[in-house]
Amino acid sequence: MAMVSSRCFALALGAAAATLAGRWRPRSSARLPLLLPRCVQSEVRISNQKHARDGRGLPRRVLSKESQSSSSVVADNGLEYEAVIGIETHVQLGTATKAFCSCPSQYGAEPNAHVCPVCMGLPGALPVLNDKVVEYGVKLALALHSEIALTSKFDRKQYFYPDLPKGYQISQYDVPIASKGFIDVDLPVEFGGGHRCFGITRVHMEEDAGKLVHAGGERLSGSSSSQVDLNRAGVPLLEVVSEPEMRTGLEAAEYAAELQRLVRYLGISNGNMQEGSMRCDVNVSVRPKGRPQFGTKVEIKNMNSFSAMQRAIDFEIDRQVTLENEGLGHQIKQETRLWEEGSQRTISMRSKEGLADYRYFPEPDLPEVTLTQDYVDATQATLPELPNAKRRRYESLGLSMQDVLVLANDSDVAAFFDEVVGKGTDVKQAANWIMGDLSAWLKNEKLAITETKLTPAALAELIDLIKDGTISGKIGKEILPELLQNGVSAREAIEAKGLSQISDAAVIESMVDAIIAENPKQVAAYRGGKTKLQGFFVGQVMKVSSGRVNPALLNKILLSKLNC
Amino acid sequence: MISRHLHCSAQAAIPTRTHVLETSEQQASTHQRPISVIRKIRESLISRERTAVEITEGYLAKLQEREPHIRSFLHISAEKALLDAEEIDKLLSEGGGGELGLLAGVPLGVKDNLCTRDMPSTGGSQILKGYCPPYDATAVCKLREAGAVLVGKTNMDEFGMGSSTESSAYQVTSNPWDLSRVPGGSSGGSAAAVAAGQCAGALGSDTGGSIRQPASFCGIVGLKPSYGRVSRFGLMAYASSLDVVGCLGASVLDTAILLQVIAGHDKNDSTSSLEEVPDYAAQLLPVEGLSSKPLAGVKFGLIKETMDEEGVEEDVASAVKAAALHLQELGASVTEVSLPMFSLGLPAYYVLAPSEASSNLARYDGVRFGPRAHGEEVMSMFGNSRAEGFGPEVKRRILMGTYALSAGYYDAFYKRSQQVRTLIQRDFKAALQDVDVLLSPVAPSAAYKIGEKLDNPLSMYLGDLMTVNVNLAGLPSLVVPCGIAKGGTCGLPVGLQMIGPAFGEEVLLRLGHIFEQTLPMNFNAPLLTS
Amino acid sequence: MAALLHHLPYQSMLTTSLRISVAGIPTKRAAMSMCMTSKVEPPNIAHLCEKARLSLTPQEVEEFEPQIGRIVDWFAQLQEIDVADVAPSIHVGDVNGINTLRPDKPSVFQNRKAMMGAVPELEGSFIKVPKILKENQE
Repeated sequence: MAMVSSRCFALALGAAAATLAGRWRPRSSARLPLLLPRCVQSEVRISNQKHARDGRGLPRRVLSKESQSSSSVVADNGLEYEAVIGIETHVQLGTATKAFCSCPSQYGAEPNAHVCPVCMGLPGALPVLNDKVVEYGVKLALALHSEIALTSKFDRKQYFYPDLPKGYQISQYDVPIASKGFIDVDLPVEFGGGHRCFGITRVHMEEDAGKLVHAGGERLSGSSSSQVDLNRAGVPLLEVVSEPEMRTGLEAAEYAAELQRLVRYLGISNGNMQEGSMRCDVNVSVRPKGRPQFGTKVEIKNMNSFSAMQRAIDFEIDRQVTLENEGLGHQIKQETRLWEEGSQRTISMRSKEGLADYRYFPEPDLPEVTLTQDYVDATQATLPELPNAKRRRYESLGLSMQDVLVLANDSDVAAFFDEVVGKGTDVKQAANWIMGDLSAWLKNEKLAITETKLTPAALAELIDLIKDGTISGKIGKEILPELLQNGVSAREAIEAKGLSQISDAAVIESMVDAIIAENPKQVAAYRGGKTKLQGFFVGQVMKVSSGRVNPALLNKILLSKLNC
Repeated sequence: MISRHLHCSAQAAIPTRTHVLETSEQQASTHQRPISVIRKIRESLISRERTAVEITEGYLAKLQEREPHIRSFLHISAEKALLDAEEIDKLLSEGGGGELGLLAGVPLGVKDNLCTRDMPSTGGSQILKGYCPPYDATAVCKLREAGAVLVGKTNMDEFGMGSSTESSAYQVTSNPWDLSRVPGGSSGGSAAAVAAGQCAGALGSDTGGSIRQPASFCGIVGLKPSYGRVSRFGLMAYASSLDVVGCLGASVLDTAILLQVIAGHDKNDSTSSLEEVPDYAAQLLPVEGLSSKPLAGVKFGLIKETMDEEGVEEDVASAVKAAALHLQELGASVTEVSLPMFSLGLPAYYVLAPSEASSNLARYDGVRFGPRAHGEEVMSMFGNSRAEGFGPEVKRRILMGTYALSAGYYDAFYKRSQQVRTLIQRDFKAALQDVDVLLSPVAPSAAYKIGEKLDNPLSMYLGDLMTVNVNLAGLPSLVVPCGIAKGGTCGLPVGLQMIGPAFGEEVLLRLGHIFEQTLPMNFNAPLLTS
Repeated sequence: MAALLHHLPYQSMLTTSLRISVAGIPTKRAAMSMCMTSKVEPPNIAHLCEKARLSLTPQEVEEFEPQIGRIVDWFAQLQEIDVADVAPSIHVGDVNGINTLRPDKPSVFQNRKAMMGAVPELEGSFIKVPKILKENQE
């Protein structure tokens, strides 16, 4: 089951554009002061940023000043506030079965098709842990450079809800599988760039609840009944909790994007926010810059994309700073708010007065999860090159940050690029071809890079043939679809179409002579001062030669003949 | 003072004979304890003396005849039982004698908190009224695979919470020894059914004494295996870290055969043990072949804290002391041992069990199964379904458990009880280094009157003192009738509890068998016709 | 039987410690240092009913309150013992260390029809439940 979709490459460029397009625009209402996030970070070349290594050679986080965010928000009276943002992400794992039973874990099945006594919470049923869940948990924990608990346990988190069959969720409370990690994030160039290193508090395993559908519309309130689908009940999740170190909506969105990138690279989840295989809940509070105490924390839910996250957070920061600034800080309640895409605002969902008492206690039906160091080391060895390492490596190849971010976004694309470059091809050329023509074609055909017949070797050859003058770049673009659709090599395509570049001076000369002879009027006009007609002659020669003439040589010969 | 029941029936438990008051002539001639009802059934099947259908019909007839007096069954599965018996007869006629399962043709009862696919399973509660599980508990599967004929589901205290079966939401079961008395609980239905000859054996569950105490009250054998010895898959959970599935039978050998069938690792139960299952019945030989001191070298330890004068009735204490003497006569040594943490086991249990129960019973919300009460919105639907479906004892324990797990109270109650549990385990471990098996009474008294303890829940709990520690430690325990106390028309049976080391069922069964077979007493419940 | 009834009024100090995990992280649970010389807060039955989703009648609440109160008082003897450095028993016996993981291979439950047949109210293939109030949303 291919959970990592390289289709996202084609969408990645689009996504970057969308982020730009979806960037929070100041509201036209005059009521709220215009607040602009002030990014104090400039683009820092970080290919030389090295993480410290611990005893086992694994990276330990270095809290350099450059990688910590110190962004702040300035209210219109000049007071500076700092937003404190923390993110809880639930990643739905792409395992074949649920966490505690062998029901298939599949998206989009008929309601209540994949259920059994265990995930339906029937009397007498007992959970049995899926070994893949542990494997994926360890993979993510390692990729987040966290400390792995060789012994961790499950706990019951108790609450009543119709989509929670047992009346409790099996989760990990005080001894999670991993803790104290970090994640490296590169901010998009178009937003000022910069590198961040955000702390990860913990990673733990748990199970998902079922789904509730509400009769009479999308909104929960106002419907007369609800419908429960338990296909999702018991699907394994990894919960990742960040340290509250983000300061802007952008940083939060990029953190989430990096986490998505990571889980896709690892092949443990498709990290799709729209499908719900990755869900982010955000906690936002504000405080006057420099004050150590945190402000009142507000939880925001219901953001279905990174851009929605960014907008929601920026809106919420705005809302809170405004209230604080007007002396109405007490109106900021510790509550859960929903992001409303339609009206582009957060609204109160319910008050969290008095935290819910989940009455956690250790799960008696499951033994402790015991890992050996050998198992952890073996899993470490299976990890692919992770996005951050890839980005640093691509930087060191001389690519611009913009190119680095695009190429390293999707592991299939990066792998393709690596192979092309591995054949000795010019790095910049390879990057351009992949990000340009190849990407455009894929987008058009709605294919992923792994779904074409073009091999990295073939692309490498194509680039080399252009470089050594056998064909022009233009011809190269023309034959690319052949390579993509039919898997022929560049040479074969050139042969078949007879498209090799003409660089023989004698041949070109005779062509030019012929064209000059056929067009005396234009020749006279040119020699009379209309030098722009050079293009006309070039065009004619190209027509006659099916575009195969070496442009540089052609111009040289043409000019010498016209100007004599 | 132990009163021998000379006036009451004493007879070999051959299935064909009905329990009636017999003349003293007949009593004198049959003083030998039956070695195994199950074996007898098997022998008569193989020898073609009787067919499986005949045997089942015989049991069903007895069952129906006695049921109005005892009310031990919540569901009787006569038709299906006869069909299953027919299958066994078919197998026999096809010459499959060698392939007959260990329990082929044996009519058994199953406690109603074990899921059975073809029979309703209520857990003794209204909240599961009419509920038919879509699967069999693993222990039930194993019984079926062994060829057993399941005659019905037995009555119990609701979800296992209780020690008298009076907390059943459906009916009160009577003790066959005295119909005005309780059979014990929570496996009271299973115990009464076996004692009354309504089935040849039965499955029960034991969380704080629920197999052992009814076995003692009804004068039969009860076995609580080690935690993890038998799969809990399909057992409606009460307290997950304490619950075990076990068996009740007319003799030690019967319970050994039942254990043989149901024990073993189950991949559906993550807490079930990989420990190998030995041949439990192999060592249970006829005592005639044994030496005069068959228990020479065996060391028993009588738990001092259970023989407290103020904590146990005189009759019970005497019966246990007499049992100790008997063991000594067989060559064993019986010393007194002390488990200093003993008395804390009871409050620790009553923190832990209700806490886990409050969680395990959260799934009973009217959404996916069982009766659903009305509610304008979902939370009141939950509240009403649960309020209408659960009985008072269950409600009390859910509230107690919710309290003990609440934020701010967890450390003081739940965690602390788990720590006390560790100390109790240590006590047992230390004691079992010095002796092979521990001994104690099963309950402070013999069976009490129906209704006697209903006013005060706490006084009911105190009756569990001698049994709960064994669950906290996860150890195996065998209860064998050892004496008669005053009460009822013919006295009331008193059981001896034998506690072994973890996965020490083999030892317990071997020793228990020898004790039982050499004890010059019979324990046949006098069933008076109405 | 009297000796078994420990109705000692709870006088001693009750301290709850911060639950430190194996990995050394302080837990989310509030570190309540309950140094009390008076009784533990008696159970608030109405509040517990809310948590446990039990819609009891006022009579039931009245009946249960003293019963449960007495039982909780009886628990007090657990506080008298020193349990410092004693690990809580989550599991007994050899439950830990067994390989109880399951391979990630799907299998479909055969008797789905019976399961869905037991559902009190279905709407198509969905399980139907009454509406959910705003304040109860998760």
